[in-house]
Amino acid sequence: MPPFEEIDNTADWAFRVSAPSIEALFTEGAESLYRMSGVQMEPASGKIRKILLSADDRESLFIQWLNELVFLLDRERLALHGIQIDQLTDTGLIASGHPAEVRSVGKYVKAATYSGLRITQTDGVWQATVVLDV
Amino acid sequence: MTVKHDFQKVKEFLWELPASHREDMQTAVWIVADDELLEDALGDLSVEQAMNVASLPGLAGRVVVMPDVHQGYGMPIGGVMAAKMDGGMISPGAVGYDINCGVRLLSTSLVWEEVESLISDLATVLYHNCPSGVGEKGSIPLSTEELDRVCREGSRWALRKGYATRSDVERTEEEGCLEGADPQQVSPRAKERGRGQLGTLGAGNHFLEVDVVDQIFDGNAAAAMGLREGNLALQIHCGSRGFGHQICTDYVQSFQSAVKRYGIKLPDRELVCAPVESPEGKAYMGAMKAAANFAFANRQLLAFHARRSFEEVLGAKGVRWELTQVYDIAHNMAKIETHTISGRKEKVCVHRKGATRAFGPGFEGLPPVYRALGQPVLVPGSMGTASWVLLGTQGSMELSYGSCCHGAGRVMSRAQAKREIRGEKLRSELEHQGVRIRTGSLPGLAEEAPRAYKDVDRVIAAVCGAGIGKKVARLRPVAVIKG
Repeated sequence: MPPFEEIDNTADWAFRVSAPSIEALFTEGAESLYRMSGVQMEPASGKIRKILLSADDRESLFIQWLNELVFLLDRERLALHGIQIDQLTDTGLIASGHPAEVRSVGKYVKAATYSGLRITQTDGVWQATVVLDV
Repeated sequence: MTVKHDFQKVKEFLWELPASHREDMQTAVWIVADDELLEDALGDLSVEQAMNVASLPGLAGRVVVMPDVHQGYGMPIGGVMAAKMDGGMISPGAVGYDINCGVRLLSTSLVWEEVESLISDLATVLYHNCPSGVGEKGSIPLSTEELDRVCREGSRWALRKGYATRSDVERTEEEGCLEGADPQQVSPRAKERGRGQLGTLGAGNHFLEVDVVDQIFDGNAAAAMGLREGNLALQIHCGSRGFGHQICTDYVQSFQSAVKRYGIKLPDRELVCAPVESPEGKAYMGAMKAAANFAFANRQLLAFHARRSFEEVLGAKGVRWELTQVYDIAHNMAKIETHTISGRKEKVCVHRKGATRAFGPGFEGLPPVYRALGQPVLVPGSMGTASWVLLGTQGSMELSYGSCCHGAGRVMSRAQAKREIRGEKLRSELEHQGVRIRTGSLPGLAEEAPRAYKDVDRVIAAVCGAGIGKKVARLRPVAVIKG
């Protein structure tokens, strides 16, 4: 199963992401968001960014995570590379990544939505489908 | 799976999906469409999403779906719902991320044939003067205090700062300022995003478009609007930028726990909501109004940049020009309004997502020039096709909570459009048709190709056939400026 797959969606963008672990699903989710946005990045100097999030459940955490990256991209023109998931529970996430300078963005994402969102695990493969409002 | 056979024809251009169709539906869904547009609506998740909306508690009446409907998230784009004040819900996802995304139309007395040779230059200068694309370049930077003032005052802030005329403000929905906006209900990170994005067009489906008034259908109304056949007009389509997106993101997130607190069961988490009169509901309404006022001010600043551009290109050549506001209207908003429902006047919270308010004649909130005519309804088409100016009608008050369509409506996915359409080829095709294109992104242009959209003329025939809109004028594009 490919880690990233774009899915047809009439108005917005949607993608399916697959990974062998829930931690990898979060890193692949971030990569997919950058890929969909056409982000061209260049490693930059600077301190490792740490991101701490809490939510009611895992799906909510996943959407918050993607929206955190949307915010950094829009507000600070910052992307993360070499993302590490340091700690992940059903309701909490600690992640870190190296700052990268964003050279260009192909398409602006308004937000990651909950529409049709489900995180599943089948035969050892974790999968999530996300609709991005663009 | 819902099929056409499940619908009952109410009358020409109007279909009902009864509340009995799905167990959790509290009310019927009405769709304004001809046969083909109804088939289009059934082609994606639009109808299912409308049924999800119809399952929310405390609805005052049916859910109404416009003919330009397409699948969105939570509520479909082109959906209208009215929630009771007592027991009804307010839902950030049923307003959308781009709070007060809307359209502004300005008329001119410039005759197309006389200025045709200057339109390419005008398109180029509009592209340079109206900051577009991702981020903050070209915006008017604001301190947090000044941003709060924009949130409270909307277009009136722009008037005070010299970016607007009094007529601009008068000819804007709610005079460009929703009372009760509460910047304190806006998160610091939304303010961080908003501070650097006022006066920018952004990217996506937002645009400026120079049009020619192609055909007049109601001479009296067109004259009141300053629209004359063969003259230029300008449309601005934009919203509240990252400021509104972040407010929606914040409230969709925080309402995830509100639905648990209030024991609300949802078929789609993007439809999270809270009672209209609850502390959570009031907080969102205050923040949403702040974003709405930001968007009114944003379109006003883009109009200011457009006027600078006209002066640079036309004024510099000694051509006398004037851009006079026709109207400015939102198509993503929740508002407290009074409607007659089942024969009784009732105060409700009307959510319009990809639907335009379309109040009929006699509404006191309209500027005097339109009060006897009805409210102007602005319906942009896709880049290569027509846009329309309509009037709200008594029929829209009775059938759709004073609402009408907002555009052509997508019919092809963005992914398919990217696969099948090359931006460069599309640009030359459009240029060949006489539509000058200025854009920062050719792949983005391809996604917005005219054939990714429904036939706007067909959409207009449906709303006018159903009696929720009345034709005034048809516009054809001669220049499109996109982020």
